[in-house]
Order: sequence, then C-alpha cells, then structure tokens
Amino acid sequence: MKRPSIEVSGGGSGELLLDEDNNKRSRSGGVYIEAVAPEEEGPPAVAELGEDLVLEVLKRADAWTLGKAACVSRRWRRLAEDEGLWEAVCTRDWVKVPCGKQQLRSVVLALGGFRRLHSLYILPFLAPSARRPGSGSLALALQPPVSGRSRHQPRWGKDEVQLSLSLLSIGFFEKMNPNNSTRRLGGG
Amino acid sequence: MAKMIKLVSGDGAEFEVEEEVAFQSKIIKDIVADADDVIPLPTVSSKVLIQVIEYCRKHAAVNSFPLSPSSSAAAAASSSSSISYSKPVSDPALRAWDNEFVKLNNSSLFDIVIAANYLDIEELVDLVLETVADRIKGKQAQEIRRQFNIENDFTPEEEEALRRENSWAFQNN
Repeated sequence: MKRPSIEVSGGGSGELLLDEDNNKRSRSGGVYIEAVAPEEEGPPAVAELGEDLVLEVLKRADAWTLGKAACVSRRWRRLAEDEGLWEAVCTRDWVKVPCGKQQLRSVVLALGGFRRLHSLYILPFLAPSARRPGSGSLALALQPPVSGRSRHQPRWGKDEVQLSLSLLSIGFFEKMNPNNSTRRLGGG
Repeated sequence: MAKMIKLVSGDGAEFEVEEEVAFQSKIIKDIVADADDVIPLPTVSSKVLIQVIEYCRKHAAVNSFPLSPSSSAAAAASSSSSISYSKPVSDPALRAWDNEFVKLNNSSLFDIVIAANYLDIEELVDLVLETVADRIKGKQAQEIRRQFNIENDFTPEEEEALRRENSWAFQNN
C-alpha cells in the first residue's frame, strides 16, 4: 500500500499540507488535512479498516449517521443495519429498560426489531429539536464526563418507552390481519 | 533503571521503550511474560509505531498515579449512565492531549487504530474510533465514501430505494 510521503505529525507541530485542490478541510475546532500523494492519482490511499473496526465506529455513531452509513456501500449497509447497534440506539436514552435486557430483545426482535422500532415508533415522537442531528460536533473534551454521550435527545421515561413498545406490537398485529386495510400507524 | 523492551517495526527499525510504556499493550505484556524482550511487530510500520509509543508513553505516565477522588467519582458516574463503550478519560489535561494527538488525517488514524487493535491498547483504539465516529457524523454518504475510500456498489435503483428508506437521516437543519 502506497503511503503519502509527508503527513501532519501527531503533536500538531509538524508541517501542514494542502491537498491537490489546495483545500484545507476543517471541522469545528480542529483542522485536518488530506495528505498529498504526488505519486498517485485519485484519493490518498487509506488502510481498509476491516468490518470489526467499522462496526466499532458505528457503535459510537448516532442514529442519523447510521441511516446515512446504510447508504454508503453494501457492506456498510449490512453493518449499519445490525440489530445490536439499533438496540443500543433505542435504549441508550431510556431511563430504565422496562424488563430484562434479554426479554426485551426477544420481544422486540420478534415484533420487527429495534431498527424498525426506532424509525417508526421512536423517531416520530422525538421533540422537534431532538430530531435534528447534532450540528457540528464538540470535541469530547468539552463535554462534561457525567452527561456521557447524550445530545439533544431527552431521556425517555417509562411511559414513552411503553408507548413505543405498544405501538410496535400493534403495528405487528395489524400487519398480521389480512382483513385490516387501514394502515394509519405507518407500518409497512 | 527501568526495564527496557525492544520493539521492532515491520520495516526493521528498532525502538527501546520502558516496560511500563510497552505494557500499555496487553499483547506485549503477555509476550514478555513468556520471557521474550525483543518483540517483532511485522505488521506495524515504524512511522505508526512511533506514534503509538508516543501515546503509550503519555498514558503510562498518567496511569502510574492513582486517580484523585474527584476524577474517580466522575469516571464512576459516567460509567453508570447510558450504554457507553468507552471509559472516559477523566483527567482534562490528558483529554486535551488526546484531542491534539488525534489531529491527523484519516490515513494516519486508520493505521494507528489497526496497530492499536492488534496490540490491544484499549484506550487508544477507543480514542481513535471516537474520533472517526465524530468525523462521519453529519456527513453525507458520498463524503463518508470518500473518507474511507469505499466504492459505491449499489445499483442506482438500490441507492434510490435506500435513500427513501433512510430519508429521515438526511434531514439536516
């Protein structure tokens, strides 16, 4: 694998380079530069992360990022749709999981899964400000340790959780009934 | 005199580091337990190994001092909150150092996380993965592809269907 010849050094005191288009890419608070690879055309060579590491990255991503990640490639789609990821997305803002984790998992998976639970029965009920994905990202150092990773999303209490789980059940049984033609709950 | 361990990178460069620095890597700790002080790392280049050693040196110095009561309370509080995959680094100065450390392009970061994963240096793996996750947040699929150098292998119809299915994710304000 070819490596670019010069790069930004870790301590931040190294040379900074511009990429072929003389673009400096910057994000909130930090600057990162695409390495110049004069002997190559096209994008600089980037080591392939491997599925385990990509999955680990996605574990740390929010729901909106997972939705976009599913559109990246077939492999990413498979990883981004992993039920384990979506279980974490659903439950991370619950004050308390209403029953044992294993029990919750088997029930929700039987009724259509966590990803479905989120997109149909959690997302629509989030407060409008919470539905917007976090604008820009703060460096971890700026977040107080106690609040962990929560963003705009308020913590869901027992009632909200029960509501979304109930709706998931109803949606499932509605689909089961072939005579039921009304699909008000958006299932399908 | 601290015990020294010799690490040999894939391209043949040798690095002598203190034992406690090298032991930030669980793999190395296990190997050395079998009485082997020279550790070849054929899959790790010297450039990446230098950076990894820099991280380990910094964190070995910090880990050798017991947590102060306030920082251990903060660590305990955050680990009891919502599902968390990381142990937050409780020392603000160290966190600031970490944030500086990861101001690298994706190519370097990926190399580092692959090496840290191989060497089982949990905190470094976590730090880089958090950074990468942060970088893709809010990005469109095309941008993510570019960052990871991934080819779009969907047919136009598949891509259209996926976009519709995930349209909620694309509503940025």
